[in-house]
Amino acid sequence: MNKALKDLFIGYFMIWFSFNLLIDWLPDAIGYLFIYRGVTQLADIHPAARKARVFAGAGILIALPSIVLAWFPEGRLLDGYTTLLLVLKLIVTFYLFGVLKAIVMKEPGKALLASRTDFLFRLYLLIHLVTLLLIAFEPNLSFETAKWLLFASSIAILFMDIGFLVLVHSIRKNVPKETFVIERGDSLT
Amino acid sequence: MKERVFWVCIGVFAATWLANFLYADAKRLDGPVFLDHYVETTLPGVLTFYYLTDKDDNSRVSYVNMDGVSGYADTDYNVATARPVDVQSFRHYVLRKVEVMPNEGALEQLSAGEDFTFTEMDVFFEGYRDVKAEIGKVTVRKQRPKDFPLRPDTTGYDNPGVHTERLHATEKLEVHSIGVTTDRLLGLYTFELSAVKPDRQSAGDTWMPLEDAVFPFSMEPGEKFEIRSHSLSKESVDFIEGGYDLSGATAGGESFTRQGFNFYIQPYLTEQDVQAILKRKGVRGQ
Repeated sequence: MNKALKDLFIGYFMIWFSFNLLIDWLPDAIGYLFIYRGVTQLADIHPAARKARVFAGAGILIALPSIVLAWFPEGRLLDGYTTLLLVLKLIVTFYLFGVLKAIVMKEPGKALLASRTDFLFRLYLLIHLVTLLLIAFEPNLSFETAKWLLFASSIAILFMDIGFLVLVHSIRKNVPKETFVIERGDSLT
Repeated sequence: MKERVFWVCIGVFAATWLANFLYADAKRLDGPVFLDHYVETTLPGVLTFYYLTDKDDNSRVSYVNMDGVSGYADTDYNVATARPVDVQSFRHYVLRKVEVMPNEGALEQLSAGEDFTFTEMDVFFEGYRDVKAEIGKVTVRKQRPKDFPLRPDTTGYDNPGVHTERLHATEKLEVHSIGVTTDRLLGLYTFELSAVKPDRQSAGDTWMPLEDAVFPFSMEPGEKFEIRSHSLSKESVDFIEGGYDLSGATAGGESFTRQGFNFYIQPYLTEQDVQAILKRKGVRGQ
């Protein structure tokens, strides 16, 4: 469990954070690889883990070109690709939340953590969906309006990313390591 | 949120994105569209041109050709955003400004010392794009002699938006006409004359609108009159550079002209103005 959550943490961190020095030294594709490995270990906890694995697997391939994202010329191609990466991240995270909710729900006495997970899940989805809608309308908004709206939404998304990482970290600290073993046993019987 | 609802949201986003993309694509211009410019100016100096272009157009004007006179172009550029500075931005387009420095040698040769007027110019953008643009009417006037029989005493801005100029005759002369360089100025400024001679003015009415003035009128050496212009604080969709135009002749038969009040009116557009301009110019993207 602990190792799987650690993989999710590292994976998401790499997707969120870019360290561009000619190329992205924290590539999204490697991030998806970590998430793929993490959810593979959690595949028996919740069906969401299997779906997260499918999309994380797709993410490894789709995010490969993002290693050289800094080389992309500005324009429609770059805009379209970064939007695709955002949608991909949202889909994978949607299923990761399903996994996280399944983990905390199985923990008695962790109601606070469960409600926190649920709250962040709703907020995360809301902010990402609103941002996607803004991105969709961006070609028909004035340059200035779009600039400020997208700036505001990118700040909100930043908080959501940090919030998600903190949540994964908290669950990892609060959920006993044996949970994973018990779950494995449960599913086998 | 249920999984199905989530996927419906993703589907709605995809459909909205595609619809917006196609709509915005239909609004794209075939090329930059230049506004109308009504300019009367003299060199040395720069000629300013405004144009509308797609908001994602990052190219700058390299040079222009004005009826055979080439000009070097300079566009304000924002290094941080790596795109030219927008004067105004709209839903699909931006308004940009380019300053052109005409090749004075070529101009001299082509105009043979006379006024040089052009209504079209070829504009060459970065990336080997060129546009044949209708730009209104721009006149580069020949240099006038400095010693002028109708000399300005004072030029001032007594009140905000009010320009006055007092001219006095240095010799016996006749003023044939006073007009504006372009009719477009009339909606933006009032033009008034003070009477030259006391018998021409009725009591309490020292100023008369330019259109009521009677021409020609003669002036003795030392006689003065004033010309006053008041801004009506209206916005213009065209770029206008000009003022009043005066022509006359001395008693010796030597004719003279003078241009005064160099007003410089920058365009200010609304979304509706942009649509109207594109419609008037007959381009795609209306």
